[in-house]
Amino acid sequence: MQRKKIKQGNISQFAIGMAIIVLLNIGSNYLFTRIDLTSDKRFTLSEHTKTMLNEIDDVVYFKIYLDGLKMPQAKF
Amino acid sequence: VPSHKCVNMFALYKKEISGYFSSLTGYVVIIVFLMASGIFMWVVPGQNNVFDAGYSTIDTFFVLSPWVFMFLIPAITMRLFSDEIRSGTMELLMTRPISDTSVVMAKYTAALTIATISILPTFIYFSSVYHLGNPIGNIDMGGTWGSYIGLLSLAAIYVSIGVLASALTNNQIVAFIMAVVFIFIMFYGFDSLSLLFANTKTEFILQKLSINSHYQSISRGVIDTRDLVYFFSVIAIFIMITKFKIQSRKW
Repeated sequence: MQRKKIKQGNISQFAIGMAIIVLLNIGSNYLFTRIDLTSDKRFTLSEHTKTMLNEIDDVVYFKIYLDGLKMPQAKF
Repeated sequence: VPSHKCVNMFALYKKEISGYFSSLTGYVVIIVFLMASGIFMWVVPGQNNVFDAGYSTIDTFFVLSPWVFMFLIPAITMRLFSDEIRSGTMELLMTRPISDTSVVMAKYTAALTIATISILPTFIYFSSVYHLGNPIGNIDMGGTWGSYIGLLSLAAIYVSIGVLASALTNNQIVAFIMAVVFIFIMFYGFDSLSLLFANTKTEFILQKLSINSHYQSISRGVIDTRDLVYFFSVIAIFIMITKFKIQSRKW
């Protein structure tokens, strides 16, 4: 009798914990912020870029010139 | 006056820590981690060598560490519960005035402390690159701190997986191997599996499940709350399963 009670208590505790984590993860996908710690804000779009991109209404082409052998950090 | 629960949890934590340093485990783990990362970063030529790369970053350290930790953290955690189960002291521990959560958390934090201690001396690498840079100090401070936060979160996840593996068996070797396999699946397995489902929604979901994608995102020096929530969730899930497994002995 006592054992059954403990078992049920443990199971419900586990289920509630799991439910909270699932809800937290769903919520975190809608409400999030990011902090760019790099000194040159490498991974953040600047306000200038954003306004510029808003004004473009045509296809944009990129040409990137890289020498792979001389850049161990950027192998393609 | 601290409550009895806290005192008991701290006593168990202290016991585990002193266990690591009265045996060889603690020293061996720290020395092997520093030797492995040091040799690959500074001695062996190749793409992980800082001098060969010629850039003032320690990014290669953060690429190597997950793989080194994959074998060292299971070695830290393997005996935590399995030894208690094998020697029968688990029953003794369960009858003590200490909650199941405190038992799991004390052992978890003790193992995490050892992992953190092994990371701390690597600030020497950071300082070396700082002074080798041209001009001196030409290293991305913010980015490196972000990487350290990522590495610490990674170690915290690995330890939680190792603690669960240890609670599943009464054999240390089995616990070690299970922990390595679980960590590999969580770190790299999901990522590799996602390649089978290229350009579908499944690929995206599988990538988001793997530690690798979140670790790489935080390693660049960008702290995203979604990554932090992922790290926290995975740790919480593994600790909860461990606690559940420990409690199931009472039924």
